[in-house]
Amino acid sequence: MLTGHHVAHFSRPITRTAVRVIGSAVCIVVAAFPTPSLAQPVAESRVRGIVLLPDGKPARNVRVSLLEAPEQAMTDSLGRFVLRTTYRGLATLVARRVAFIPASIDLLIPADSTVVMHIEAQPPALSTMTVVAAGEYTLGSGKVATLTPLQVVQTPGAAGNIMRALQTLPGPQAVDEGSGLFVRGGDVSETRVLIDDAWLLSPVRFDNPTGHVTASVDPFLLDRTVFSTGGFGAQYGNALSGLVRLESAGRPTRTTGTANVSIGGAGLAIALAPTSRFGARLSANASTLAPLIAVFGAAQPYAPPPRGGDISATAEWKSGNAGRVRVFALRDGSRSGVGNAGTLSGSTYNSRTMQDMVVLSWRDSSRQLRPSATVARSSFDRREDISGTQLGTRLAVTQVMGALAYHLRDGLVLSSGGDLERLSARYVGEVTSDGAQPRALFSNATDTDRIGAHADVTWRHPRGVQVIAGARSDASSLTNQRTVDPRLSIVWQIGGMGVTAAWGVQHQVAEPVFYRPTSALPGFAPMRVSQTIVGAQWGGDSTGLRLELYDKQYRNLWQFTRDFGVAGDGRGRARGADLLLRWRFGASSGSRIAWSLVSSRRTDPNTGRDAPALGDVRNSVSWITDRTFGRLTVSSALRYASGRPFTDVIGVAGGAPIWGEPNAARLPGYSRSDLSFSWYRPIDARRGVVLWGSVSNLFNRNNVMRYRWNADFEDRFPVRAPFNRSIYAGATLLY
Amino acid sequence: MPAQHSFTDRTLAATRAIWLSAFIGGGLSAQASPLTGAARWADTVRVTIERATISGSTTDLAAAGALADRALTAFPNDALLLHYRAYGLYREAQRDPARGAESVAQIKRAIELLERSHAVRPLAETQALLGTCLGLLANGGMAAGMRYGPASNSAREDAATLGPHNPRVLLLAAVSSWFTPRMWGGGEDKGYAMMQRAITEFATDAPARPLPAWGRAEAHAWLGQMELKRGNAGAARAAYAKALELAPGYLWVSSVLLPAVAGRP
Repeated sequence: MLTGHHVAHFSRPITRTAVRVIGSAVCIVVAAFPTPSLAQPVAESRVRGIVLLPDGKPARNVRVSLLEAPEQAMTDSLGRFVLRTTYRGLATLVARRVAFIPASIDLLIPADSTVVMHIEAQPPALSTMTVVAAGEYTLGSGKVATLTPLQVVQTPGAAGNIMRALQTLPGPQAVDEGSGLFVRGGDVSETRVLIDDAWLLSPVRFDNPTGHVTASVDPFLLDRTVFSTGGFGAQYGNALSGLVRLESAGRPTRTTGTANVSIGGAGLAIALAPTSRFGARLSANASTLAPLIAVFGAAQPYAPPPRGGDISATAEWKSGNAGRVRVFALRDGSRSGVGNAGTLSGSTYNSRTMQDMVVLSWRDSSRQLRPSATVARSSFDRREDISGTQLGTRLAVTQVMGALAYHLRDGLVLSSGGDLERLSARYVGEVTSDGAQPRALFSNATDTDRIGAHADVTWRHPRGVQVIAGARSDASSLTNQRTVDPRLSIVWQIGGMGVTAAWGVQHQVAEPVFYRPTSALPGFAPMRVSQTIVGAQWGGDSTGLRLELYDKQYRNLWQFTRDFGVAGDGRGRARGADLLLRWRFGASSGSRIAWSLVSSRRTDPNTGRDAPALGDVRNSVSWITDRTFGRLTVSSALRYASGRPFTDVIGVAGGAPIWGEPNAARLPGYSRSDLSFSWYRPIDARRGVVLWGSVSNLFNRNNVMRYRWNADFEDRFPVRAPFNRSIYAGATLLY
Repeated sequence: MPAQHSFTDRTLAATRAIWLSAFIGGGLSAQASPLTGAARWADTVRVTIERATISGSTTDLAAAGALADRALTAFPNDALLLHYRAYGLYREAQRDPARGAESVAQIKRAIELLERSHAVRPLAETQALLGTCLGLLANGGMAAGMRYGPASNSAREDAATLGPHNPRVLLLAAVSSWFTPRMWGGGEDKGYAMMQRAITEFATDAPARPLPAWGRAEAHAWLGQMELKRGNAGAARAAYAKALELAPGYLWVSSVLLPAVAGRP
């Protein structure tokens, strides 16, 4: 008797591993079942049936078996089968074929009717969609995370700096030793950093002509970081090349604390969980590189050595079942000075910065209608002295953002929102001669508003296809123009393989410091890029390969000339390939290689000619390996980049340099090796100590970061990377 | 047949016995109600694991796992089968944690199965078990704590949201609190109070088959240990007696816990 007619709808791909597990289980149970020779003699009965495909055609080579017995049969070319068995009673009949969903029915044996079963091809499940959208890399928790916060801290040479850790992913070019992100041939000013969707004006500290040294945000105050090298969603505006989305750590579930001390600093962090719905985090850090420089020396003369500190706090209240209200606040400051800072020898550079930020955000995902809102206020104040010329920069931005996502049904989400940004920028320049009063060079104050709106639709098909289509529009009072950016992202997952593609237009209003209307440049059009990305992915978190190809076309670029004049209407093109390979050796070792190839050209702001862009670093490679020996973790990093372009001096006329072809010369290739370790020792059930350290620039390689010239431009001198080989060590108490 | 059976031999023999009693003889659960398909198999695996847990039989536990694996070949995405396969692995790892790497591998596989189960059909018990399994991994050092700790807490919170009165959620939370220092949000008083709540909720707990129904006798066994630690040997003995009344032949109680309280005033 046929007790059911069942077509299963399962959504998990049958992998080789699964096939092996299935095989093992079958072997175990089949071996356990009484063999005919041991069983009581029972008359053999036949179960007859047919297996069909969804279109009604016969399914051949389908294995049909009883879960309760070892016998099995295969379907013929007409989809028919005859299963001979001595089993009697209620049974589960299963039809299986590789890459198809198993179908099953319950029946009583002996059965007197023909069984009809349907099987259909196995689609990938939405819940197992692990392919990441084109151009996107994720740090933090989650199945598609590329790096975890711990990996950020353990990345050798990164010194706990998120931006430096991001540089070990494909996409950024190694233009200097700093924290700036030159993404896919773009400029560092074209990468926008957000905390809880609000703009962090300065993500780095310790300004230096060869780059910034540290980041503003402690990685352990963050829950998740998404790094987009292109293909942004429509909700993100005013970013041309890259986007770093930091999400502050949420409410702690228990009260804990950490204290750390090292050669160059000390810090304290406390997490408080007074109630099940409310929690807070506090963190304070102070650092100075003076002891390190005193012990190991530096390639550049620091005066004063970089020093600074930060204090940050988060408070979160859990609202409803899946909502939260969070306040994140940050204050950081730094001071540093360095010699041989400019084109000419003997020049000096000093800077002092202070940054404040407060973000209030609300999210609720408990219902089909999911609202979010953010209000933020940030300010950044920097005083610079370049060989007697003082520059003052003060930026303040207020932002209000809101969005609403509606989960219409499984696989279909509509969302829309808007954002308002009010930016106030003040720039002051003065020059001081010996003993004289400061003489004003310029003073510029610009207030500007930007209003944006966006809408997009996300559609997921059960067969592993995801499409996100959207558009945003922005209007800026500075450019007096409205822009429209269409964006499209497609992901197709086929088993363990994924294919991705993205296309879109992005605009960014150049910083107000570029806004100097003249008769030659009356307008201030927003910078524009249109980009296309195609990629393929295979594998998962621990072992996998990811390749992306991209093409970007720039228009309306605003750039500084050599003497800090402004050149607009620039054009450019960047194309390249990014590769990420990850694999594990057993349970305790892992390695990843990121390789970025790029060809990037832009209008040279000094000559107006097409030339290699600053980010035209043809090859950037990083190879990170880590191994755990019990409580000891050791990591190594090898970095290589082909030399970046620069404009050489080819002669002197009347004491002034004659510059060669723009960016036609190349610095020597850059390479660096770093090593780090951490060792954990528990003290008791709730306390422990972590000893950690690193050897930076292991082989003491003095990479050339740029060149300077003597006063008559006759002699050229290399400016080396700022830090020699150094050993950094510290201890953290967990309590 | 050699006198000393290997683990595999014993597993196969146990599987055969379960097989015969479950299906040829009418089935452990099929006899009582007309469960069909995946639900019938899930219920059989559930009952088998429960019997193995009470009798302390590691071979029966392994055999239940083999049975679940077999059923999963036909119903690879059935939430309850995935849940019970993971529950069986958790019980195996819990029974013999000294196996180290093997136990860790079992817990990791249990986590993967529980996550799959939750994606198909969210159950409070699935999230509670997930939180416990992640918590076991989080105890492996600082790096493990940072990797698994937040996920463990998140899963426990989900479990509490899904089943605020679910006695199995309360049972696992109580045990976790009992072993977690007060500074980290736990404490013995908190664990004791939560265990009493769990026992109160168990009194009216009547999940329909084949939903999870484990834990009532275990709750009394844990309560007994808590009472003993609090200096109430009499109350501990009463709790153990209750556990044996609910699950006669509960090997852990009869051969480990009760002897430990014998002779205590």
